Amino acid sequence: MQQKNTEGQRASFLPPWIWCWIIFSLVISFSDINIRRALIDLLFGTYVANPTASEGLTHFPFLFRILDITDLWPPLLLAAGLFTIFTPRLRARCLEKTYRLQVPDDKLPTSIIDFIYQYDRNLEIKVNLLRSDEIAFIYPLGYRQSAIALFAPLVFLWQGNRPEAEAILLHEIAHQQHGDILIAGEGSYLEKTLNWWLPLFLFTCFIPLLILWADQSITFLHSSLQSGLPLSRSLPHELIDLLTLFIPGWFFILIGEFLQTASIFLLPLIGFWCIEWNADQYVLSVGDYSSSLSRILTRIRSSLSWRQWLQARIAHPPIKLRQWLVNDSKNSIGIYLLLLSFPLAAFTLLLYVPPTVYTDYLHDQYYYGHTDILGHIAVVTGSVLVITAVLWSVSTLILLFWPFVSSYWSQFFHHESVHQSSQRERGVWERHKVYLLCACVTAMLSIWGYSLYWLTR
Amino acid sequence: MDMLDMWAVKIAEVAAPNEVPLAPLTIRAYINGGEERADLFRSNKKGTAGGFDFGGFQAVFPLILQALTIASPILTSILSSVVSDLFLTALKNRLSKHDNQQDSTTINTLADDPYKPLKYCIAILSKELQDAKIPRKQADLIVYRILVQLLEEPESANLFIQRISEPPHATKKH
Repeated sequence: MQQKNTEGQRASFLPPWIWCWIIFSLVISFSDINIRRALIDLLFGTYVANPTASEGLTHFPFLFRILDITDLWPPLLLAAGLFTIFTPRLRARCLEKTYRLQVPDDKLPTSIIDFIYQYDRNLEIKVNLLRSDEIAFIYPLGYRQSAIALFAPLVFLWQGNRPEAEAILLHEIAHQQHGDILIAGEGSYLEKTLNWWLPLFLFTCFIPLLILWADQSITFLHSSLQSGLPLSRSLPHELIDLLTLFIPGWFFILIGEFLQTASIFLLPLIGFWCIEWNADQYVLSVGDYSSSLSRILTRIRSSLSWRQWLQARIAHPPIKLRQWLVNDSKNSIGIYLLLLSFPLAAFTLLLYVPPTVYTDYLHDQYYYGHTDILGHIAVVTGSVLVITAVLWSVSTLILLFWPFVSSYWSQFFHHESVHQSSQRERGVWERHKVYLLCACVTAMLSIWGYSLYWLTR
Repeated sequence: MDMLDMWAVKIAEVAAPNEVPLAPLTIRAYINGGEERADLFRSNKKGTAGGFDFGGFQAVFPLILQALTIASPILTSILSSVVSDLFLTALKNRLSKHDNQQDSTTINTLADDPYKPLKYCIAILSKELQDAKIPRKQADLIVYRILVQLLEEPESANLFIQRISEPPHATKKH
């Protein structure tokens, strides 16, 4: 076993940002008027009944209803997250059936069992030592009970390079102790939903937009022909309209939808990345595992298909970034980057501004002058910043209190006494100045957000 | 330890030492067929497995069993051959040269008479391993080592090869 790290730092270094996102997402889903409108439109087709859509602009008015799904991403993600939180037993049953997990027999080396119990005596161990497509993962059996699933490669690694195998086990155990597994990890419906964002974006946005665009073009061409103009004269006009109006217009709508989707996805994405960084930091806090962890990360395959790459990025941060944070674990830039990653990621919510301004402009373009547009951009930016400012205010409080409450948080998910937990989390307290400084940054961001909102009202 | 377990450990020791502890379990699953055998050959379609991924990790021992099954007709004839001692000597020679870093380990330079069946068998086994993205040199070495093990005890090895080549549904339960 590796030598214990006497500094004991970063045991539960990062606050549970993904839980913070869930609460934030809950507030957004119930307060955003656009989400309510999109839901009503989708369910009752009121947008289809809208005169602008029924004026014969398209033969496929239901496609506008499908487009509403893009606006419903925040409640959809929230629902997936809540479903994951409230159904740990269902998730466990699905995983155990899918991976054919069983209670280990004598084939699993007892040294592996001893090592796991050394860090968490209450963890159940399940195995499928025939499969080599997975290594190990942890999953919840209930709210305070978890199981770790072990596969053949972990046993092989235990034989060949035990420190690396230990680092993997500790990384998984960390997820249990940080309370991450109730939301994230193998079988998480939230992760599955995030994994499907690109196909869903294509089917609910890109393809409907493409069909609507093609339909409008054909209808327009058809009406021109019916007006008696010969094709040789109408076709150049159509081509000019196509190149100057339709394609740029639809392109802007598509970009807008993409930015809107990105603004919804990037925050939980960083929340997931924080979970992984935090688990890596736990491994480093337990012992001198930095070289082992770094070596394992170098083995992660680089030749992925774009789909695999995308899926990998949703659940896990980029390898280089992870390696940098592992190798330079005492680097102060890394510490601040880790702590501020989630609050700073809230800036991505501003990606929501351009599509909103553009959509509003399309709907009410006759009422806008240039100064009105700038004023409208300021108002929309202010309305996004006021939401973001709330998130930064909450982040400030979390960062301020985390050194005091981190041991209680771990104790809630991990069956150990507060005293044990406090000792383990000692390093978090030792770094309270870092938390204080980061809290100051988020407090300033919060004040800036509120100020801009009040100025632009 | 029965004959199957003994051969599983022997082969894993020379071909995939890290897989020795699970070799008896693996061979049982391979013989039982169905879901158990399918589990041995599953590959990860996702980007990363858990927090880590070993470059699409694939255990070598199940691949060896599969290769031995495919090459079983020619293996049986080699193991029953009157010149099996010659094959063993040739393979040992190549391996000792490799261990002393004297030259490359290819066996193709040997004369066709009487080594043609051995060369053919090596080609089949090596190709199966290479198809699973094991580099050619490494695949050749694994095959040489396995064949040496088998040729050391041809009679028992023949029974072992027959046993793993039987269709799963025809397998007797042990």
